Amino acid sequence: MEGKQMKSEMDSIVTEERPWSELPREILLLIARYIDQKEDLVRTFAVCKPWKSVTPFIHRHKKGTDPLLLSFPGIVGGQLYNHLSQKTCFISVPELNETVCGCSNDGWLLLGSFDESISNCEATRVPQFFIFNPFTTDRIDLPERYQLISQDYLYCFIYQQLLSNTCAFSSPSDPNWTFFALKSSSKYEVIICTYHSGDRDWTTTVYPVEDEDHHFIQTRTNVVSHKGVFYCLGKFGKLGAFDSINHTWTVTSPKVGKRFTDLVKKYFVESNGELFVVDDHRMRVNVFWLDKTKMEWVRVKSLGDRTLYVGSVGSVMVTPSNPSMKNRIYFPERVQKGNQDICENSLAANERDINCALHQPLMSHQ
Amino acid sequence: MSESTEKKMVRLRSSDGEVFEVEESVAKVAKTLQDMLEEDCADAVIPITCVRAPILTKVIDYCKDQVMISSSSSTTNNPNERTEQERKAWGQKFMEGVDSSTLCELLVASNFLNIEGLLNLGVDKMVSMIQGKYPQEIRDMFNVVNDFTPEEEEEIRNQNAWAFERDPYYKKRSSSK
Repeated sequence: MEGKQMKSEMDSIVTEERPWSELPREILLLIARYIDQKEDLVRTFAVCKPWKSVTPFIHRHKKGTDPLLLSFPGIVGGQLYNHLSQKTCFISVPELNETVCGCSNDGWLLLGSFDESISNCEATRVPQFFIFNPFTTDRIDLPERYQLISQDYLYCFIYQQLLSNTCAFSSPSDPNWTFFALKSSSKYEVIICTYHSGDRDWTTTVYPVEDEDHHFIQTRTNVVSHKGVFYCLGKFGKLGAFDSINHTWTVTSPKVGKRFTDLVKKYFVESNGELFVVDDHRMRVNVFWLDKTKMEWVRVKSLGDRTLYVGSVGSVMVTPSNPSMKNRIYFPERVQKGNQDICENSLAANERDINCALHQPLMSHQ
Repeated sequence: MSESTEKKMVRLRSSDGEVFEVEESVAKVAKTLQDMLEEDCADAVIPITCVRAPILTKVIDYCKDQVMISSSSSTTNNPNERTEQERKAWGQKFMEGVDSSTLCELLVASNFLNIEGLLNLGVDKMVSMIQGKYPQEIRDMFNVVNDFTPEEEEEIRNQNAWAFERDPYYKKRSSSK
């Protein structure tokens, strides 16, 4: 049956010579991967519009899978730090000035223009929220028009979630991406604000809390996404999941052990659909993995050949290029020393709380 | 009827109607065809309507070569076995006479038929052709029309000014205005 389908698909294709400008996207992306020199890449994809249209999907950095730390103190753009080579390079990106980063994904950052007065809900000028890729300088502005709830309220809503890093977006490398922010301030309702690519407006939905079991107390833990579902970590290890395709919000209560306490800062990590929680006692780090069959947060004793990079605007789990880095956790945002089975390590000497994001270089686009 | 020793043949029809008869093992180098053959729609002629005969000939040449290497690779001291260097040289030779319009069709065909090795050869060739060239040179080479407005082109150039310094083609264009 599949064969027949394929035949009809093949029949529909015109039999003339094919112009280069109509090269399929996947071939253009493959070409981009083969090009070594950055200037060749820039020049090639400036040839015609169809070629130019794939540039947001090009991910450069072929070597290794280690993330770079991007920090932007807000004065002169940003700096990139590669902890393997211990090299820093400065990038001049005006968009990074005077902005706050809420979360990051796949090399993209959610940025909000920085205005002190907004945090007090007295917006003197309209804050801009945008998703930005500092490497390709692609910028996607989130809409300024707001429906359903008052403008000021929504500014505050998104701004607060941005400041507490409790928002997320799926990678804009997928044309069908979504931005998500959640607020669960009362016992009776959860407010979810989303923006889908291509929409003119935000969507804000209030989900009433059915009973005690579905009560979700928000923590300042980052939000992660996988295949259109956004996961939030609540108090007592509760897991909130928002399905952005069907617009459903569900709360589950995985079992938690003694070590899983709400007293310490937690980081939420997603890797190939698996969920991990890293808690940060400063002197001791615990990693928990969600066993979905038993619905239990299980303490992980070893990361195997993988490495965790943990930060408040985004965390990633990778297989490091250098085997000596395996089974380690890096906290790029501060200096720490550890003494347990899973080593913790510092990525950069950033003792101050600054804006920084992890850029994971190798993300497959196919 | 059942001559199991005889090699099973598969017929492929190109977009311009030419029918090619190849051994099944040769057709199976193309993953797309392999899937179709395993789905058992093999006795009819398989139409490959997005690939013209001269391109399909080239594709089949490539597949035949792959079969020749792999069929004898299990024996020791295989005369057909190639070192990395030899493979590279072979690939270069295979792509040598390919002009730019053939290359484009070859890329599309190998992508559609899912022949990774051939696709990589094609992309390699394409990348070697564009190396160090400016957009107008690439357009001339591949017969691509510049569909940007002058303003759009200006903007692209300004965004990555460093990559367009000393572009002789662009200067010519603006000075002739």
